[in-house]
Amino acid sequence: MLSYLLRRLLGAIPLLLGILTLIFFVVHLAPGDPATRFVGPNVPPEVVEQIRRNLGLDRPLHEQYVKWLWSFVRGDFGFSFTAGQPIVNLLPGILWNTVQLTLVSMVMIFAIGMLIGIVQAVRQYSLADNVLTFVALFFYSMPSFWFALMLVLVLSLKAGQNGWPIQFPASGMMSVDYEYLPLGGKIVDRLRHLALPAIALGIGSAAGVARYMRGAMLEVIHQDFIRTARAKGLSERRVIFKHALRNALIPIITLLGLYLPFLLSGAVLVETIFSWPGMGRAVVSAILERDYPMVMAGSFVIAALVVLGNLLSDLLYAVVDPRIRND
Amino acid sequence: MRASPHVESVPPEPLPPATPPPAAAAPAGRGGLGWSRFVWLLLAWGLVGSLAYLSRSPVKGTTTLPMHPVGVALGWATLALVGVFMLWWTWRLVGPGAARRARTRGDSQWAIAGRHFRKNRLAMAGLVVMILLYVITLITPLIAPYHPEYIRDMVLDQYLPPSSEHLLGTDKFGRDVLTRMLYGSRISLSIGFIAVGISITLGTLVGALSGYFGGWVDAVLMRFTDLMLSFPRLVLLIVVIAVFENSSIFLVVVVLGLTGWMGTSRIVRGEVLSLREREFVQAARALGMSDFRIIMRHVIPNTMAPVIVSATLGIGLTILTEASLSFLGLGVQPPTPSWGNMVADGRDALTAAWWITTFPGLAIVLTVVAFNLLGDGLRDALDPRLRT
Repeated sequence: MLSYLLRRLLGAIPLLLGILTLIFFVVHLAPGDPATRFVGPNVPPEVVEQIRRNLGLDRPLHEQYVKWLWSFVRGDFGFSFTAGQPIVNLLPGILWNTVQLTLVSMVMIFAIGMLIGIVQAVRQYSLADNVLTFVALFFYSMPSFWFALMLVLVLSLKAGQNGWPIQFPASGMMSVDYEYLPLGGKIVDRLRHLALPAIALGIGSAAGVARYMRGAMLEVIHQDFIRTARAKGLSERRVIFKHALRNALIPIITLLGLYLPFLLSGAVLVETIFSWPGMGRAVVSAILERDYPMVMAGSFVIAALVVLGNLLSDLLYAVVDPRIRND
Repeated sequence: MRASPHVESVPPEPLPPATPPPAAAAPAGRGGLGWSRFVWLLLAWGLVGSLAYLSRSPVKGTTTLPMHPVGVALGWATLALVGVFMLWWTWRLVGPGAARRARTRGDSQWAIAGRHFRKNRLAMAGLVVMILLYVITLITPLIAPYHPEYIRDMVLDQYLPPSSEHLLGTDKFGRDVLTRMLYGSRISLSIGFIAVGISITLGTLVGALSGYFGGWVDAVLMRFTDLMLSFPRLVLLIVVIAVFENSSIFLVVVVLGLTGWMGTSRIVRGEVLSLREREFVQAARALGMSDFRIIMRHVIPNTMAPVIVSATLGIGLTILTEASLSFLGLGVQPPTPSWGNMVADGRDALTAAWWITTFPGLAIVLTVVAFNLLGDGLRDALDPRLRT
């Protein structure tokens, strides 16, 4: 197991280097010059030249590349143009916000998706199965940003106007009086703010999980040991949840890591809509502000998270299925 | 499973004349025309129509460069040639000759798949919606009640709720939402078709090369595929598009195409790995055919079944991604209508005018659901293990 882990970790290193290279060349070979951000009517050309020198843009490309790569490997991501701070100081806070959102969303996806999948598999070809299949497809095909806007429209704006009991805040991470709340109140407040973004982010993936779960459950339910379990008189609930679910979970576990790219892609949109100060919003606003160091650092961190997610799903697969390890 | 009869290495099997050919089991008049082949034809027509539309569009913002007259003439000539070729292909597939050929050849893999496909009611619904969309995009100028940029009175006409005059209301400039949605369907679908055309071509080539040659070609190409897969697509797209600082539709289409090929290439590689060891490929090699010819004539045609599935599903996904990009303001630029930037437009007036956001969003959902239903139906029909 340990050697498998090591092998996988070593395999991820060239991938990460490749990602860095791709980011560097996409940003640097494109037309446009980061220094133009500082050009203005009141800025003399010498100053712009000085800025170019400070940023190292007057050097040949390969030299810039090696220097940049070396500083990245040491964990120095450079200065953000807009914040005027080292990116290393900014990154943990932003990352933590995205992780909160993604984790809550992930829990929701798997709870809802698996439940629906189990119901569908147990009642195969019933009315409920067909309706749920179609509803899942509907949510799967929905643009997350549109669904987010509809959620805001109904559960935030209309609910607020009509004084419905369920009403969620439409943006931000905390209420105005967050600092004065007791600890329990703080958690409730954060969860209330998380609700809409997490739903908007996760609904499409939940539909995907439901589809996989249905397939996996159906495959298991028709096997002999389930018939044996029923034959020895176990209750249906016990057969489904104890015997079938455990075996159906094996393919589902690997989805944990595979849904990460989808969630991070979706986070770009959902964070922008709900003004959630996370990675996605940071990358989008960095791009609109032409803050190149932040763009490169942000997209690298997101890609690294995806690599991590894939690694995690491979490892989980190896844990639940010993045949993989010895390949 | 027998390979498609259009592959030259598999000779058509003559049927014993005494027994009626199995094709007779299919409804009369259809001949051997499988629905999947019909879908290929539809997709190809969609691609050609999209290319023609985007390159000749009168809608502002799509053509960026003033064209040289020779270039214009060349463009028209290419378009005409492609059109003639497509007509010929359509004739071959649906004309009277096709039925005759099908009778002498018996059931192809595609015809069997077609029968399974027609039994799947949801997939047929998807196909119907898709054909409907084709018709709508073709006759948009005839059915659209207004001009997409027509503004009668910006103050009096803005944010009008749905009424008999404006079926889906008006937006903040007093433009008719229904009209813009109809014109937006042309843009969104065109982008979907062309981007998927690029990505499945690239994906098939990469997959076939890496599967066929193996060794270091395989290692390099697959590492590159892994690399591309580890970027969330949207992040890569916004970085590339923002860095190029030039939001023309063509950039959006090309970048969408260049970031969507990885899934296809993995599927094709898997197929080619097993095809490479089959007898007909070995026979072709023994006959001294070049690798290029074997790949093009013998290997790739046999991987077309999963490729059409990923193309159909890919169009839905591309339309979604394009809408997301336009929503962020990096895709299609206003005043050119696309479903994504219409949703983004309505975001400012979400409380006052819900119809601006809601209806284009519903159009996206409907389109993507249709393509997903079609793709799922095709997958079920083409994969013998999933046939019930």
